[in-house]
Amino acid sequence: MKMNKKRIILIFSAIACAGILYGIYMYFKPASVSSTGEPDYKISLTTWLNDLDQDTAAQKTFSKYINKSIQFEANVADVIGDTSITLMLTPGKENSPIEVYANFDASMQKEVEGIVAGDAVTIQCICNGLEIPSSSDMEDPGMALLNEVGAKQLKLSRCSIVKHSKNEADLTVSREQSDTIPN
Amino acid sequence: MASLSLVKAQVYKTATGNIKFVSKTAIEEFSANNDQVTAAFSPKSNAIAFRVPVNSFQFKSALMQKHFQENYMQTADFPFSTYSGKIEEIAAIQSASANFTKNGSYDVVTKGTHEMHGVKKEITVSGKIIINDGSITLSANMSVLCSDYGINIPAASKKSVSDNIDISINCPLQLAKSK
Repeated sequence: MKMNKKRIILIFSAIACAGILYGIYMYFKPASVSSTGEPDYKISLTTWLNDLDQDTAAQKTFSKYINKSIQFEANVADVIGDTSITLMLTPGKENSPIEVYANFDASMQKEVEGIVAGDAVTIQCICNGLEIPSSSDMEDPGMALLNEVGAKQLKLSRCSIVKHSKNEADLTVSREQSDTIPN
Repeated sequence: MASLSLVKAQVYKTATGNIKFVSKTAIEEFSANNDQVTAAFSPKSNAIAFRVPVNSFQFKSALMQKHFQENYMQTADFPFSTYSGKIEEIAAIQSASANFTKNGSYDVVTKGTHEMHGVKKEITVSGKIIINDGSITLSANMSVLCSDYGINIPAASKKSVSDNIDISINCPLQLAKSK
């Protein structure tokens, strides 16, 4: 009987210790700065943006993507920032109905080094929100101003590069330049 | 059409502005950073606006980030926080800054509507317009009370999470291209 009591106390103590250690681990576990591993959604950016653009209730239906990891291919339209880098993306060469901003943490600078406008990338990001103006927004002069300068915006962060292809036109130029370098 | 282009040409904007907040209590201090603020400013209409994707706040601790998103700010339901207002006495600033061309830091007061966690409040915010070689930066420090916006801090966390949150915002703007 005494032996059993001791064993029970030991088991409870071990469980309590494990719980405390897990709590300490969780408390000090650093937040992820980039999305890696199997994504929640692998999508075509063209289809996704066209669907969102045409969906009048997009801001409500969009909530299923919030805080989920999304992987897609895109073209780089612009590279913004010098600490944390934001890539402005389009689905192809043509203009997008929705502006896409993909933010990389400052610690990911090496990963985005060398990416320039015109390059193609496959990236994985966490989805933060879709900005689509509502009719009440248009009545407010400030919100109307935001909508005037960029009506629809998709905000993604904690991005990581899955694949990066240099713009072929740039490569042709650099090949031509190397051809002209005298031996 | 020409006047419409002129109005649009006078709008400054960014989609990559910065916002930080700090919570300080006697036993704990933590902060979070966000580089995805959309901001716009029209010198002509003196309107000013910010839109913050709340989910973009980056914390040091994964647990704090999860609690912030799911328990405090409920980002799936309220993905954005906004501020829309007007700069008071813009004429004096326009004159001092030679219509936003003269380098310098100009104190401004704005009045407007702040929406966070689905709650709207009329607030006044003091800030600065910083002009440096043709670029305009909007900068401000402010404090908000979580309780004012229906953000419930559980009793067990009250010693480690402050009701009073200090916020700083810094948005370098570019002249928006006409659409």
